Amino acid sequence: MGDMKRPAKGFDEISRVFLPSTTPDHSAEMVPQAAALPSRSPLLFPVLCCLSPAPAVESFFACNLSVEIAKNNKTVTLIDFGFERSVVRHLMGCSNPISNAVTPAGALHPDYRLESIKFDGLAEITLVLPARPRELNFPKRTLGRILTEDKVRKCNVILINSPMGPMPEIRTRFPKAILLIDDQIHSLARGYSWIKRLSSGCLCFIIGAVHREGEDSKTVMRGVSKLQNAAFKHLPVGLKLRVISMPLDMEARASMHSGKPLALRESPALSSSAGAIAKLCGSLLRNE
Amino acid sequence: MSRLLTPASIVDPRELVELVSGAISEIVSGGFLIDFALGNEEYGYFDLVAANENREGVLFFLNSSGDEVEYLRFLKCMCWYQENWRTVQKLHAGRVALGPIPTVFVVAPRYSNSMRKVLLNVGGSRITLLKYNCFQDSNGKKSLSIEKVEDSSAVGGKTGFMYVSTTCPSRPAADWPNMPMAEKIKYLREFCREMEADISNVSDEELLDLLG
Repeated sequence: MGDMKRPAKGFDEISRVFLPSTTPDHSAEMVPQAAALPSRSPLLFPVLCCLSPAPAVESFFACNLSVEIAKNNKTVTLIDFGFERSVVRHLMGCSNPISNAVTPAGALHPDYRLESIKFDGLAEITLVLPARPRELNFPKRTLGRILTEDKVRKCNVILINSPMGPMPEIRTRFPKAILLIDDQIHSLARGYSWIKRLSSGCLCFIIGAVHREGEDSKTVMRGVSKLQNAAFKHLPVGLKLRVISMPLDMEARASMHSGKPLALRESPALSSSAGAIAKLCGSLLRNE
Repeated sequence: MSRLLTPASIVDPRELVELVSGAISEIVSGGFLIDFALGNEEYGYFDLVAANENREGVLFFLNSSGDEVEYLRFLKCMCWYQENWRTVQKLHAGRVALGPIPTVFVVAPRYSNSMRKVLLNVGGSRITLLKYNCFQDSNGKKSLSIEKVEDSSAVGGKTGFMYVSTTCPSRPAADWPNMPMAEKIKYLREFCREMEADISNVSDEELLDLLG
């Protein structure tokens, strides 16, 4: 194990990792004053998507996972770096990107915006979206600032959806990371690359093996098996790779088109995709 | 059979015409193809004429290379159309309604920031920019992934996207199952670069284990 460190999930540790950055970000944003840290710490998970070219799928899982967490009475923040490809808002059933935007009083945020999304009977979902296009470079310290937002600090779970490439700040350590892969070789390569990159701070990975319902899932499982073997052979000892089969069924497709989260559809119990998302959510919240 | 998609380029513009024309109904909701090549020798041609579900005309300008000089041809096409739209309307009367400001879809592999802004302001909101990526499977079937490119400087203009997949017969592809391992690794790295996925931290030995 040597220099392997235990995964960190505490808010203060997360803040420590982000805030000491001295890289100028050319942003007019005010750095929030250090506030009293909350007594409990949100769990912070990245959702890393290695499915391409299938831009809707990556956001579909992040979106539905956040709704599933909210169904479990946990407040959740979804930080979405989908930029031009972001379809999270659409999947949440919101039409106009700006109409419900909330800017916290006393703070100026040129780089991101916060939205509050509420579904009947569910805990609150806070959606954080970059306010500027991808090519204008998301300032390096902005994720740190997002994590100091009151709303974000007080939630139970933070998901980071970054389908477009590297996480804005990769130095942080996560208790777990969620990887979505399919049966294509480049998907495995990207998944492996992510595991390698994060393995200095994260030892537990949940691999969502995505396949279309009705398609043979053996192909993707064979790929996952190769990925596991390669990881155990080349990467640090102590890695845990859990695999959850993630079928994309008709209900999931209908959900994508209708803009209504899967868990809120009339018959989520009949959907194998919804079942897989619930299983993934349970695994995150139990922190197994 | 391997379902691996590898990046492919479109050398012959007719290939892009064929792929896009086969996907009209996916690109334009409820749309269908009306005609090819609208224009004339002097001013150049729109590549495709389609109609949406309300039978309103939609013109396609395809720039398979992405070269910016092609947009001079596009501007000339627009000028030609605006001068001749009444004649064109009569030509297609009963099949599709064409107005003085046409709805145009531009399809290209990339757009620079400046060109995107210029194009989106040529005809206001009636011009839609689509960016394509071309892939081919192990049988040499090509497909397109198409994204809608929006004016990201506009408020809330970042959410649009579309994804279509089309196939058509194509040139013979590399024989993946029989390809030497070193060649496969090269392909894989190239593909990931195209997809803007960084796998530079993965060694060849590790890739061999993933491919094996």
